[in-house]
Amino acid sequence: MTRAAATAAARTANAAFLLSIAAFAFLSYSPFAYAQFIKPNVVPDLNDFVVLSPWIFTIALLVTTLTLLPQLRESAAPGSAAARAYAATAAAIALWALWRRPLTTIGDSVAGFFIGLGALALVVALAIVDHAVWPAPVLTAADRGRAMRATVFAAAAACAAYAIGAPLRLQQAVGIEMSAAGFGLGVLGTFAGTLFVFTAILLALIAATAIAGLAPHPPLVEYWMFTALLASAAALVFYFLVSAAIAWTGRDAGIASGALGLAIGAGWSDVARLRSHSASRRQPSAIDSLSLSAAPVAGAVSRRSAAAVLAALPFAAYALTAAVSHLDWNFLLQKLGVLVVWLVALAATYGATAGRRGDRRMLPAFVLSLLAFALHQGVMRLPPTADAQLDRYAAVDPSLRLLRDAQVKGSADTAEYYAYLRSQTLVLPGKVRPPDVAFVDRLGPARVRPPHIFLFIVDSLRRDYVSVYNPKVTFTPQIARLAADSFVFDRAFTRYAGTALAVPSIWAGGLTIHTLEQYDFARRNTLLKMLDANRYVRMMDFDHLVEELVPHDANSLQLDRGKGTMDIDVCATTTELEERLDGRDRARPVFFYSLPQNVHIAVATRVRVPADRYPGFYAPIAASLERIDGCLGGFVDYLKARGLYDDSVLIVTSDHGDSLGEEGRWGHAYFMVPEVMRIPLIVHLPPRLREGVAVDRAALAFSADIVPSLYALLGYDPIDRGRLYGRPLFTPPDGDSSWRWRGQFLVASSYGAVYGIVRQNGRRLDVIDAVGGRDAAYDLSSGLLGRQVEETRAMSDESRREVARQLGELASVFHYHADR
Amino acid sequence: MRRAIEIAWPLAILLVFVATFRRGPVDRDSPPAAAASCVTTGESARPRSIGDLESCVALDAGDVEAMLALASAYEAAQRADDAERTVRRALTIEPHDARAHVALGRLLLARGDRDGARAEGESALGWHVGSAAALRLVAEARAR
Repeated sequence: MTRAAATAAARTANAAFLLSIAAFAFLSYSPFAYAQFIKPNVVPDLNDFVVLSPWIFTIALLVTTLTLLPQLRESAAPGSAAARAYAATAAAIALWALWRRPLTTIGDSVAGFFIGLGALALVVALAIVDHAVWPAPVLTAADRGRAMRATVFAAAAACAAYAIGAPLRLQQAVGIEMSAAGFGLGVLGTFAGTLFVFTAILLALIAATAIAGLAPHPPLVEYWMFTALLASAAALVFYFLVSAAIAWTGRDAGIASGALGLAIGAGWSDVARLRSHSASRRQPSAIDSLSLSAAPVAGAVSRRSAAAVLAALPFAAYALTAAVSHLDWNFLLQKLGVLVVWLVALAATYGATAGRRGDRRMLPAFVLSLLAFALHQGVMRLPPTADAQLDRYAAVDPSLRLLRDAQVKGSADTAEYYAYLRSQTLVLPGKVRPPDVAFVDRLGPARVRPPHIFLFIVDSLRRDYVSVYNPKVTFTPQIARLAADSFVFDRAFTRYAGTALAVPSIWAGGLTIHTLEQYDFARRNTLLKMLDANRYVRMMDFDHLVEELVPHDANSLQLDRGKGTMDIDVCATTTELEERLDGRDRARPVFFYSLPQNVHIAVATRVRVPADRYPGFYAPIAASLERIDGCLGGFVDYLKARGLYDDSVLIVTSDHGDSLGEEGRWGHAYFMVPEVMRIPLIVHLPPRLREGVAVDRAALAFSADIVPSLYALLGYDPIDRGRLYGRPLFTPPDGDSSWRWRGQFLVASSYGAVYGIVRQNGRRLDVIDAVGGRDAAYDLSSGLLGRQVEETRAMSDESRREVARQLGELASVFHYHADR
Repeated sequence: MRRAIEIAWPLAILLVFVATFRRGPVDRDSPPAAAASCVTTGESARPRSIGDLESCVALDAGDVEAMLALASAYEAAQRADDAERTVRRALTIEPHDARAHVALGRLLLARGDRDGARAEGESALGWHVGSAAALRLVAEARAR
């Protein structure tokens, strides 16, 4: 390996590390990303990264210093001053990082923004140093004919890279049936879309070469224009794809995106220059500007290494997708992976394609443009049945998903409606004045002796993974035993498709304005008011959400102290709870709350389970559920043994469900789909509270009904506050539950402008997705979870109106006026 | 001139590409007013005339609320057979709807089918535990 090649490898690793630092710092600075990923420690590996980062930075600096030794030794060497300045600055930063360990303490502060910018500045600075140290290669003009051929081959290579892995992904996906013809159509659609995009890039490059022809040294200008195009594209991708996905917009996101684009452009040109030198030792001839631009991927002149990269592309594409699919955020990481694969395919095919120097003919590129345009238009005009095949194929091919999501375009009224939805979403807490909510006018002690209350909200537990909802389930016998002695609500839903709002809605007993910071929550914390009015001892977990909702005071006894949210485990919690119950003040009732994470996808997948152990189910989730089922059963036995069972309300539910491979979806980010919105709801009542109440188990129920139900069970007569709030599931025998059957109820994503209406007693879910740009309708009476159905225009419009009506009511309740 | 063409043509085609990349609106002109009128709107009252309700059921074959309201309207108009047929249809869609079971039980009781009425009342109680309406139906079916 030449010194230049070794330096190029070092620079690549250094840039990757610094970009990771910047990504972490920007995520910390974004309030949304901090609250959703970093604070609850969703990805524990990030902790290791944070802890090790000062040491990795120091090692990276030592390697960089080694590569710059000639310049550091000899003041007369080219680039010496720049190299010394860089080394001194970076050394000072390394010492500061080792001393202060900034990533461990930045929290959600502005420091994250500046640390991110600083990391990117180091990439740019080192690129400047290398450009001063290593002389520019001799450049010739780009070869248009070669670029044109590379465009076609790259489209084929990128399409094949994902198509080859698609059958494997199809096996892992749930609910996708695809014929061979459908598969072929999907591949064709992907090729057409990819060729269209790559041809657009070719046109931009051709325009750049033509513009560069006006300059005194065209090849050099061409090269820097290509680099600027790459930097601009990276900045746009970061702003519109990444930053938007974590709800980070505005000036700071724009600055960060620009800085990231600049750093990627600088780092790319740095490695390009170094690799051109590593090649020139073997073949010292001049290279064209596009070859230099492609050099970071496949070297400057070696067709063999370019071919090797192309051969490895399908494996890389499959591995990239597999590595991130389960923990992806609305397909964001998969889409970024596609963009990387596309970039590599373009660069490698240019490196692998032979050409004639100086070919600047226009006609072949013009013809290619027409063909790409015609093919793309043909695919866009496919009949609806064929279009549905493309949608199915997109579920197993991230590149087609990226293309189709990017292609969605609504009409002007849809754009206006989506803007309205966005104005009601992720509202800044300072812009709302929360109401004082009470279910009882003058809340005093309950009329009946307060029972103990045990509230298990199992994060991400799906309804169809519980045997009382799905007879195929064999791994929840203890929950079934509890259910046999309880009320099982058949049509239970969450109001929110994510924990961040689902949990506050349960404590409040109703909808909340769409904000991640529950400002002044005590005024509407109806559960806490009821507990305090009845002198409950709160034995509970304080996860990162409840920490903001419930005070630590003399009435609270924290369980799982010192554990992070993602470490909350039913078995450990119930063990500690049993000890606490044994030593409790027997004159006071106990309230228990926990949000166990055992079946959360980020936790359950840490355990290796044979895939065939639970046929028809996702094994890691089923295994985790089997474990907590045993612990729940053990806790019920404990209550029975202590004589507490018949004096306890015991509720097992979830904050929301989860996608486990349905049509390629995993987790619960923005999408609103049946498997996420439907939840289990099992309520055990003491016999004394069962008497004299009626329960419509077949009627629509929401987790936000739990608190009003507790009010009713304690003998209060909760005020009916309308459809934005929960209402008791337990009514007097002549009580009316027909509103549940005929009402229309607003549901929402916790993280973006995705809203829905549950109607027809939960047989129908209509979704308006301002993030994905699509509306959808689900018939939930079909099968265990439901299926997507065609939506009539009338129903869709009615849903849109209803969503707007209820959002308007909610905004009015919270005194919120959107800036539009 | 040649230089200008060299610059202009790729930019012009690129512009066309950008303008035609996204798929055209797949959505909505103005909604058909008649269809929208039958959608359940919150918890408000529904149209009450038999004609209106029959239109609703015809427009949305899954609208159980319209069916129950229509059955009630048929019953009020002394059209018991139509009412029973409509309630039974509602039960094929929502077999656990206690209101429909009670409504059917009342119709059966009215024509003297005590066993049938009691069975419907018990079905209602299976899902709507403690429902006063269902308990009354069962009691009346037993008493007669």
